[in-house]
Amino acid sequence: MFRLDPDTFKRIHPIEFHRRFLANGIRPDGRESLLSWRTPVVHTGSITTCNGSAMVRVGATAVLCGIKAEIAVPSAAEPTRGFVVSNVDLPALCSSNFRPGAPGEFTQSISDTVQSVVESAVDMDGLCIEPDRAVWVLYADIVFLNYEGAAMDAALLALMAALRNTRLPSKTVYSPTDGTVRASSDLSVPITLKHLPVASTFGVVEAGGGRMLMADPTEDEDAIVGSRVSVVVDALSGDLMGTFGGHIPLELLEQSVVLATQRAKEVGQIVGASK
Amino acid sequence: MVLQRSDGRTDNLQLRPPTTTLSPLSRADGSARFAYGKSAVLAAVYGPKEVRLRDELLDSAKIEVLFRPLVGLSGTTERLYEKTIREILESVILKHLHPRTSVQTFEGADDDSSSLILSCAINATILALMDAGVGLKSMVASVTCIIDDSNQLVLDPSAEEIKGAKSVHVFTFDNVSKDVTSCVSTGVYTYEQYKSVFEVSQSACASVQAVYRQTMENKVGGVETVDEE
Repeated sequence: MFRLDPDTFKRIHPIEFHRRFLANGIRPDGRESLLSWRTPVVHTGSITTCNGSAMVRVGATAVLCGIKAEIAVPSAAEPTRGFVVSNVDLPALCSSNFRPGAPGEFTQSISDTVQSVVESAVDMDGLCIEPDRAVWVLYADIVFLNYEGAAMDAALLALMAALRNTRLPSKTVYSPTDGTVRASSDLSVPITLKHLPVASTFGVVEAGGGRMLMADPTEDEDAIVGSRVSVVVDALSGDLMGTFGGHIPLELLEQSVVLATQRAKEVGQIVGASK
Repeated sequence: MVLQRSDGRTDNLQLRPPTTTLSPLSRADGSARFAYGKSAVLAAVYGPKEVRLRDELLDSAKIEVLFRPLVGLSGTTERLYEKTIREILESVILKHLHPRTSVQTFEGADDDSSSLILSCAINATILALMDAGVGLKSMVASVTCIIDDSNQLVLDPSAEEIKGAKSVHVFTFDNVSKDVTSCVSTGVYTYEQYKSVFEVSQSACASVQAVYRQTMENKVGGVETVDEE
């Protein structure tokens, strides 16, 4: 009798392949329910030439974040406010879905959402060296080495772990005569984080005649995911810090906020354990 | 004490009556201008028309969205706007009626006041699609809300009000389902605040949909309302 092996079946009929898992409430990567997450693994400080760095793995997704501190002139409107400039890169090497060249719409929109979240998480006034003259600017490069879904969740997690790992010189002196800043060579002062945002992404799938949430969909599972929503929750206070997505009934949106709040606490402990 | 907002409105939950212009462009298949106060977006729709070979879809129309800011080059924020608008359109346009074609929409900001522009762009695009006669499943409408620094909910904020906001919420609803068509929220806010923003936005969207209807009625029934003297 003719039989298809699972890999071929998945390639030829991706939707039917995932539908059969969905009917049994299990996931192709071994997760036992629609609402179970891949537990993130966080390593910090692996790049020694940076002020802070972190490597995060979520299942097969691997993302690296490095933070470099430089000195810049603050904007005239906000003379004590420093800057965090984050950039997310999904290069062609991380998945066959991304082409070399300029970043696409997906990459740029992830970049923009991560930037908008981090701006409310970091105490920007703590980055001031000399009002109206010099502030720290933290350049955060977030690069995916392997991509298997959870782009927003992993990118934000890597960025926050790297920011926690970031150390600035203990002494900085601004010289008004020549407009330069001299800094001590030690890197010992951590930056102040007001919040610890954790993003949780849900897919909305059709199952059993209704719609339900699927936590943390992988890239393959996108085949059956109709729409998605990312909920960002502060692991410290439990406040919400962003919601991005659409095409979701109100009750599922409410459920996603509750689940994201629980998960933020769990992930917050993992990040909190890293140095 | 009567509350006074920076643009003279007296209630935090007051929506400025949107200004709409239908078919301002003669060469597009459909076009519309939508404005909340000074923030305005001009949208043009081309299609269903022929599609580039590499974009061709066998069972539906390809939807392309191009957003241009008022000044300067478009950046990551504009890409997020494009993605948000495209995801809304992909669910609302009856794209399976037009396989192997493309529907292109262009949104140009007419004034720049950050988050409000996304709501204007969504609304202008929907009006332009209606003007072009592209089949839609429902009418979607978008409004912006903020939670200000004294934790007050403010509907349809002006540019100055957005600057001091603790959180900014752009909600989009349609007139058929109870789904949230799209939601982009930034800043720090509580779940209770989020729910109240949700409810206020939902009812505000209904009044924007009434404006759509009025605008279309003016277009279709324009001949009958002319007085003969």
